[in-house]
Amino acid sequence: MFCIGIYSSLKKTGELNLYSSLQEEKLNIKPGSNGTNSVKLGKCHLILAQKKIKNKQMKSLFNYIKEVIYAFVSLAKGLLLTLRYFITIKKVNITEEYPNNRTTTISVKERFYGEVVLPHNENNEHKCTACTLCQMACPNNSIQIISKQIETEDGKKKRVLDKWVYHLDSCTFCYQCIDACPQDAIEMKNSFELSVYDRTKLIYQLNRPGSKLKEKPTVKEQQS
Amino acid sequence: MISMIEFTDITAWIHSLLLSVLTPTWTYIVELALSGVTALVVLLVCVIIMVYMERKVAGFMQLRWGPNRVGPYGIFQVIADVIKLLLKESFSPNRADKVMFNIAPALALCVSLMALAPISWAPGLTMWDTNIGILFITAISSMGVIGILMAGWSSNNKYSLIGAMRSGAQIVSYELSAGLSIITAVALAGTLSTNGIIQSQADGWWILKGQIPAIIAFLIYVIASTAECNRAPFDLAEAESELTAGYHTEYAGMQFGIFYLNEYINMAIVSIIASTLFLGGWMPFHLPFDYPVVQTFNHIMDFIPTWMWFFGKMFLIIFFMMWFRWTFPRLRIDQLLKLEWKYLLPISIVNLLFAAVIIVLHWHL
Amino acid sequence: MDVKKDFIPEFEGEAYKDDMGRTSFIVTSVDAVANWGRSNSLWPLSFGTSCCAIELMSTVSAKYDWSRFGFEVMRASPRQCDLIIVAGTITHKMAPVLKRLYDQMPEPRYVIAMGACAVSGGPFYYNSYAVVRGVDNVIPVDVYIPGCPPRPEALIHGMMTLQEKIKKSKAYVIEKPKKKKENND
Repeated sequence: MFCIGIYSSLKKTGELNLYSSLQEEKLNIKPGSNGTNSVKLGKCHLILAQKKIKNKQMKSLFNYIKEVIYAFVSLAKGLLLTLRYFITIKKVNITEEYPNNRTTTISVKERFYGEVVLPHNENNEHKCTACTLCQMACPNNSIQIISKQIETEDGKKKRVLDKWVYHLDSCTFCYQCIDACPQDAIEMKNSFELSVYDRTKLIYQLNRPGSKLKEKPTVKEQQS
Repeated sequence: MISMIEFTDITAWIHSLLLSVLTPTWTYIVELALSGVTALVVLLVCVIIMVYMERKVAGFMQLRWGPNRVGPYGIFQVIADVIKLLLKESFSPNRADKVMFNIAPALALCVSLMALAPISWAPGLTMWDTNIGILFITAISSMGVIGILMAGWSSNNKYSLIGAMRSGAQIVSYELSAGLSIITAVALAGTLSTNGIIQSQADGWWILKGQIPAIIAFLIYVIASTAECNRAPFDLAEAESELTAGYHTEYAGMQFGIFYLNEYINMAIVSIIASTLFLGGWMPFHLPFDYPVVQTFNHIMDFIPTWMWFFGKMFLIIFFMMWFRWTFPRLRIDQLLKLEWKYLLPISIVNLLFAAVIIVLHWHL
Repeated sequence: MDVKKDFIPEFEGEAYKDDMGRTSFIVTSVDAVANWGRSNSLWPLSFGTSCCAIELMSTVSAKYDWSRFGFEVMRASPRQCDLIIVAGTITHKMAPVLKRLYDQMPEPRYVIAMGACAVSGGPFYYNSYAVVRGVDNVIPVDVYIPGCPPRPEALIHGMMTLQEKIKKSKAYVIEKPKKKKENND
């Protein structure tokens, strides 16, 4: 088995070819003007090459045995590693058991974007003025703002928000709507438990029923 | 030995009870049926434990828990799987050879169950106590490839066919070194009967008494039998990345479940044989020396019941096979055949010669 | 994140009812056993078409580990799996392949649409001629998981939602072949 290994390794490195070519050279040496010198030189080369090959043979045998031993050592290393994990599983385990850790150790960062929300204050008021800048900024048309005209007490016509429709099914959480909003009316929330049985339930109306626009304080009030 | 109920007493009691009611012929038939059903039930329970164990071992070796939500510690996980597989639609493809396609899983299962017959479960508890038990097992286990080839060929799918052919090449080639290492143990024991082999290990298991050849033969048998069961790292027959699912690509529902079951039954049988040959089957751990301390140690070992020894050794070897599976990556087909023909086979032939020399010179203890 | 108590949406159960609105004890108990088995051993097909598949792999891995539920047996052959998780964009070229894979799966089979692309076409909804606008145009979907891509926890939540659906639905749906009406009234 080892012999086969040496033979194949020699064949790979091309040392056998070198050896045979040297022999051929030896046969083909013609006596010329410098014939004796060349024969001597050739013999010298041949002897040197043979010595080299012997050294290389020893080296390749040594390397082969080293490789076999290294193979077994690496197999044993792998086996010991998995055995160590198997035995010390309680220490090395890295699983986050999701539904059990919902209230305790789960870490969902603030910067995780999961849903767009329209925050309302305690008086059921939001900040959206229905300017549709977010709708225009949205690359997927996930936002539809339906506004209506109402008449205020002093007879002016005014456009207010009727429905803030949010298509969660096509939203890619690119944050462009929030960047576009001049009123800071919308925010991102880091919720993720949003699975549903029906696709139509992924279309939300974000403004609550009966909600109003939050009145901006007038200049006088600000000054006082 | 000790004042506990032994299996021989139970079998003798059942035999006399049946004889008092039935004629001898009917007694024989009923006993055959009873022993078959008992072995099957024991083996199915073992398989359920093994599947659960496999998933837990896989989990633990990969830094995770494995199944733990279905029942306490996930022990009902396998039962849920079995219920699902039983209730799943099973069908045969339109262009498949339908008779062959439906026979193949049953045939594969039958063949692997046939190898149970000469196994010695406990002292005096053997279904078929024949003097050529090991020869029968080796003969039967090489027939297992027929079911696989039939499944692969009849499903009329290129992946199935390639998988089955790979599996055939693999099983046929690894049978050689497995057989040679079985012969090593048989030569050491001097008998082919399973009971005889276990009795020959009364003063120490062959892996201790048999010097180096027994250890090498044991290692080669474990490697070759892992390959024979088509398990990772030798699971080329069902390599998902290349062949979808190998020879059972087209099988659905319980027909696939039977192949799955077959794999685990094969594993159980292989590990039972390994424990019978090298680790003394149901024989307690004895040391082959005559000092009084050793004698008392041997007596203490006798207190552990034989069934515990039997299943302990079986599950130890099964654990080894699972350990290999979840550590090593899959081999390529040329590497697989090279490993067998260039390394395992020459080593096992030399090992057999070495063992023969040791036996002739009576160097084994 | 908000901590809701009932974080899994309720599925309105289907039950076998006779004219009086009663159900048989045997039917319900058989249903319970079958649904328990099915919901606890969902074997998914290893199918992923884009970046949601990376989250899917992450869910299989040790950190999120869905083998706790018994889902880790990912089969490569559609004949042996119960569930197909459409993780990624389905183009018009991929749609027939998906349909064929779905047809090759044996009953009962379930589909989860994971991520915005599979639910509705997502970022490709308006300006692409090549993308299917929602995988429910090709195959029936049981559970939709929004997100781009959803977190691994969100996928586990979706799987638990599917379990809830399986537990509350009929174990056997026997569809009688509809008789053709002779007279078109």
